[in-house]
Amino acid sequence: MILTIAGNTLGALLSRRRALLMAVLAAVPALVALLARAYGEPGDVVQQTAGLLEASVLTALLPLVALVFGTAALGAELEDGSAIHLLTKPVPRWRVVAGKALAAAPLTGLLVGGATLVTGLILGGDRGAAGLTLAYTLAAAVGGVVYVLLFIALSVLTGRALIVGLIYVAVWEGTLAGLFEGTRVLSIRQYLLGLIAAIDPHWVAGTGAPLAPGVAAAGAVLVAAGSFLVAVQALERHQVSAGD
Amino acid sequence: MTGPAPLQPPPPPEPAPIVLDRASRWYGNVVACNDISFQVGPGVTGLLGPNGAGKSTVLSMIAGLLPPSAGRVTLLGEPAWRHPAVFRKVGLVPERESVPGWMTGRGFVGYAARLQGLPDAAAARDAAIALVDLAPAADRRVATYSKGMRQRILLAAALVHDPPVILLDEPFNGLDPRQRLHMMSLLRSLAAEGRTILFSSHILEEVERLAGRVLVIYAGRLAAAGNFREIRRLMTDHPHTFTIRSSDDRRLTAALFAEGAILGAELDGELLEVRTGDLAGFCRQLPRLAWESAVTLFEVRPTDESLESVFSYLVQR
Repeated sequence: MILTIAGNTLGALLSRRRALLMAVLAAVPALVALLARAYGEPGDVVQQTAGLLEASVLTALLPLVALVFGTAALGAELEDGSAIHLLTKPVPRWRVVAGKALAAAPLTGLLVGGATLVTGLILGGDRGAAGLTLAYTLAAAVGGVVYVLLFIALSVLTGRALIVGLIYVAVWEGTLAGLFEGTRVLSIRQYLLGLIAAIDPHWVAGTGAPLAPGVAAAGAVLVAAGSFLVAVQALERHQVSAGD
Repeated sequence: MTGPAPLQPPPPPEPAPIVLDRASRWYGNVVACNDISFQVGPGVTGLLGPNGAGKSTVLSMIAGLLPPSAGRVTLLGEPAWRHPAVFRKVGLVPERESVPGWMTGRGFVGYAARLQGLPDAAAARDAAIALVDLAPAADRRVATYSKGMRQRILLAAALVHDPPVILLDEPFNGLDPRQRLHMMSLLRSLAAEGRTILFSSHILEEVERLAGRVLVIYAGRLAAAGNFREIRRLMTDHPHTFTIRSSDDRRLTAALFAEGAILGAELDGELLEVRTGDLAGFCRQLPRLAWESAVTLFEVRPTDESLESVFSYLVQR
């Protein structure tokens, strides 16, 4: 049942122009890496690779792709009314949310993880940054799951999930988490940086001390599980009309 | 030796598949349905009312897509709200087309069959598509379908698991006359197999041709319920008003009064307005009386024949 929903959702996500747009967006870090490799200043390649991956992938590409796919997976159907075909079937709501996440999270992970891998290997794969690249790729895959679940929950809770999600990514994670260290415990990006730093602290280029590995892992698990539960609860209470 | 067998109490009466008991639904200050009670059993029942009367809200409450704000709604003996398992026995055709355009008709019905957990989803899918006469177009994308074809693919998806209860919201919208006849015949045959079918419509003729029983909804209230003939009689017998232009309004009025064909009349300039409580009698008598009185009729126009005014009358009755 979950696989049936996931397969259908994957078809819906890939059928729209946004999938192509996200693929184009995912190619940008790799292009930057190519330019940096060709014309960049000589220096610490590991630091350069970490800086590029953190800025372009973890800060921009990952949350953006997850936001688009996460809110579209279920929110778009709720918005245009086609969710009625799913909600009038004998399917427990947790399976609906799981199916939606099972489509959007791997799609996000594949696209962003692939972009991370290619970008890192172009810039420093043969110059000592292969391990770092792999760590960022895994972080992108984990981040894809957490972000997607958060955005699916948002899309069930509000019709303006895209805007609310963008505010979370840009204002909370982008600005406040840099200004006030206390807010980092509620930032998915900081969880991912904390996990990468647990492997090697030099692989994190950002300012400020990264979160402790335990806090980062617990935070990621809590946000993912909490989002899943909230999405299921909200979907159970979701009201739709059979007519216009 | 055994004594006489103890008397068994009669089995309790089976509850009707669909029961609304003083159900109301409001959105903030707007009342969509007000204190509605009815039961729907096997056969075809029509939910008749003008647009915006609350038909979709009633169907949504029955299907468990909306909770009642007050009262109780049960489907097959259980409240349907937050109880998705009930959809194993219910098929819903919503008014919104909203079929994902990227899917093929076969893909859409197959998806419904798999979500129902049917053991042979492919066979059920193909049977449902054949039932709605859409097999030749089943592999086309839904985006290329006409409105009528989309209605039929929605019906196929609702029938794929062979449900005993079928709910349809304005199922004849967008169908051409041939498709309409086909859908009516299909619904009749499904009802003949013992299914409970409840469909909504704002068109009297559709309900008249298909439904044995009618529920009339107007302004969120149940205006009338019962056999179609009874409802039809109520609708026909309500006071009707006509405006008439003739060569001699005064003489015609006098003749109509003398014959008892009208209840009242008002003459306003060149326009005569008459009120009758017996539509059929008035329609028979008017031309005869005009002929006998040597009055030429230029125009006879009903002023309140809209379905809205009929529904309004039923509510006020």
